[in-house]
Amino acid sequence: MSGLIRETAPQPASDVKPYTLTSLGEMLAAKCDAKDIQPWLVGQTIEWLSKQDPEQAALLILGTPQAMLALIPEGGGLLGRLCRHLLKHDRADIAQQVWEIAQAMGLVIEGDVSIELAGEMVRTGNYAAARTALEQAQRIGGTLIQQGLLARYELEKGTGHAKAAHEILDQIAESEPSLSTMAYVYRERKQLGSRHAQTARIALVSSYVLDPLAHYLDDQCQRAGLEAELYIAPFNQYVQEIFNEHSRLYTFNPEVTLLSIWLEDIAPALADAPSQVELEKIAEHILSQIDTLAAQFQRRSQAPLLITEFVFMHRSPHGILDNRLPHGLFPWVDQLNRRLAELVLRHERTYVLPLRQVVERIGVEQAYSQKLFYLARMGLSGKAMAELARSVMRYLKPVKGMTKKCVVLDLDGTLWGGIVGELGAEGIYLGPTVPGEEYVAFQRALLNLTRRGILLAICSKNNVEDVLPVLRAHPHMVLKEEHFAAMRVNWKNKAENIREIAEELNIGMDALVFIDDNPNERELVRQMLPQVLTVTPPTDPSLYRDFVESLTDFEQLTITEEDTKRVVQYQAISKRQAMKNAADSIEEYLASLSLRVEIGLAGLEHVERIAQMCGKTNQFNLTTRRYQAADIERCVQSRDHAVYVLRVRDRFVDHGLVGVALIVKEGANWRIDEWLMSCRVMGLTIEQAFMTYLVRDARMNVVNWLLGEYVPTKKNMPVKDLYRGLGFDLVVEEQGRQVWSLDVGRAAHTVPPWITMVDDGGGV
Amino acid sequence: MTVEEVMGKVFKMDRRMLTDQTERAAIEQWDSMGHLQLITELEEHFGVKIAIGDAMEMGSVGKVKEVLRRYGVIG
Repeated sequence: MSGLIRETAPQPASDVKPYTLTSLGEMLAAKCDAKDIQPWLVGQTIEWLSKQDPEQAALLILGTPQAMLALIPEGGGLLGRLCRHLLKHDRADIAQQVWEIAQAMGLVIEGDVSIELAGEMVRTGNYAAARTALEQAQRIGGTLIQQGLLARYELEKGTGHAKAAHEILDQIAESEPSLSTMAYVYRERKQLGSRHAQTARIALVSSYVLDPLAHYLDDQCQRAGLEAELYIAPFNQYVQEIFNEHSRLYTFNPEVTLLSIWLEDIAPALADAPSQVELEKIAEHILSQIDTLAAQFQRRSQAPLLITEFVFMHRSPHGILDNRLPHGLFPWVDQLNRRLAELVLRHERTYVLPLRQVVERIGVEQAYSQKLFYLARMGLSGKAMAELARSVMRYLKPVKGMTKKCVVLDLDGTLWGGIVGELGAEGIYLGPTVPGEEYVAFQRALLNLTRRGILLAICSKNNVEDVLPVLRAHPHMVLKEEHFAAMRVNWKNKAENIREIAEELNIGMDALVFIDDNPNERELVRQMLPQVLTVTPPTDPSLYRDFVESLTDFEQLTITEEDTKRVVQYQAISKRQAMKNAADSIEEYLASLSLRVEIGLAGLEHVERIAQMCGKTNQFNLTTRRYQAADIERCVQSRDHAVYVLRVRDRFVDHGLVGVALIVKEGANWRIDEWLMSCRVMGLTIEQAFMTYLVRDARMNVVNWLLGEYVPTKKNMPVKDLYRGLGFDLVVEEQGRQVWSLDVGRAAHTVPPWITMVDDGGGV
Repeated sequence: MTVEEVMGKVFKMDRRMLTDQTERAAIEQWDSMGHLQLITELEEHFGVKIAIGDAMEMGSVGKVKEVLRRYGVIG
């Protein structure tokens, strides 16, 4: 052995002979026993050999006692690098063995190597080792985020954990929403099978290729708890699809339909710098075509139709004079879109989706590629489609009755900066300069939500006496005490507080959004109250405003008078609650409210509000048949139906139209096909007053029996025994669906003494 | 990342399955939409803009490499 080793630097410790790296190579080539080599040399040897011949280096490692390996300085790094070289030589199998030795010795290998190896382990079915490798990589961190997620996904899928696999797909899509990743996520989800009970049917009809939008929409739906069913109409067949009543578009029966027409597809002449007269002709051609399409579609489908705005992705042929000329192109596009928005107002359930805002958010350079258009007729980039998909969700959620009703807010670090209990009302960050300005902007955005009928509530761990001075007197608080429909400022756990808030406001837990800067509180609420939408605000408060504005959960397809009044009404409810606690008996409490109820038959002016109530009333809803405006309109005008509406007022507030009952007249029987009331007036015995009224009307129409139905849902348990309470008898029950009957001749209902009936039989 | 790695990522397949001879037809996900995804990904990864004629020429792994070699982004 000594003949192979020359003596040179580096200077070794004590009696160990110095070796050069080359000589070590020679030494190994002579198959000398690794056990004879000094430990400090093993490190250098492996390092050198890893680069030259990683398989040999690995053999050396495998042949060296662990006790000796443990003496190598920075052994983890060394073995990690060796694994990397092995991987490059496609020897993942050996790399795995080396990794396992490191694992056994408690050596830390860099995250990226563990991730790459985990991918291999999953592929070879070595799931247990893969899990360990991934867990380790997660602890250490690395740059291969996407690859790590893919390996974790394969692992969960391979071991049959569909739910966990779905959740990792969520993360994959979020980490890199590129066209290819989204296509992959979509394919995989189809293989994993569905994870949500509720579905959403969306149709895409366009003049250009919009297919990848399906992947982005599917992902958005998954996040919202919906299984998307998508129909993509054949390329550029939008006219045929809409005009032909037997087209697949209609057999698909969409719940939302997106119609997107590329400006230059419908108006190719734009490329030739048209004159003012020509431009007007083009505009008229476009608008009249859209007008016909909307009318045709509406006749055949109940689904809202979203028509995207027209965008012009190029520069003007007139240069800088464009906005000074009567035939300027960009001013013309603006005007075209304005006329489009006016046009759809003439059609029901037809909306203009602001595609220009979608494009502006990311910029034309990012949203459009001429090359993609030439290659595949694809008008929008992946980025643009991701944004467009979010936009579509704003329409889909209200259609599915998923609109949130209340935002529950934390205070310290959320509504203002700093901790009020420590800094005092004067010390918190809230005002016209940073830090502070960003919280003012956030509060303004929240105030705007209340203008759309969304309630705000506080849930904060604080002392009330610290918080109230801020709510009442802080000069820069945009949100004052009166803007909050409910308040829980105490030291109880937040889940409990939120449950109470829902109860107090009489809304379902799934109508709440919870915003808190503290991840622990969020986690607690997520776990204890999964129905509540707990969102993750950005860590930087300067992004709070944009964050809340980007949430797609507060949209409504129409805005009614009731929405704008709601905040006032809920304050009245809070006052009522206070009285309820004060009153000795429930009767006393009800009497103190001075309830006035007005009942009558619905007219066409009520249709919109009734449809809105059908769409979003969940608790006091006997059959939860989500009738659309067109259905209601038919019933209102039909002789075989009667639609009753009910209006309630108390001494605090006018609640407006808060009750609807749809009666189907079946000869001598009247069937209550749908009956719903706003949860705001539940518990006020209004239903007794209504039934008294209905029985009286039935008698006048010589009706023998009133039939009532109850179809159970997750939400309408509160009215399960409503008909029993009103003196009906159960006729039949199958699969939870109950039919009840009341002998009109024998019925003896009376209006409770605390309710005053107003203007009997008149309009509401 | 190598060309094979990028392609493996786009088509979500093992890069070792890809050789220079692998044709477009042999990879199920490499349809016209997959081709767009590939071009987008290659442009992003190698920081080049691939001309439309070149994009249409990319019918196999080898051809993809050939084009990128012309752009001077791979050896």
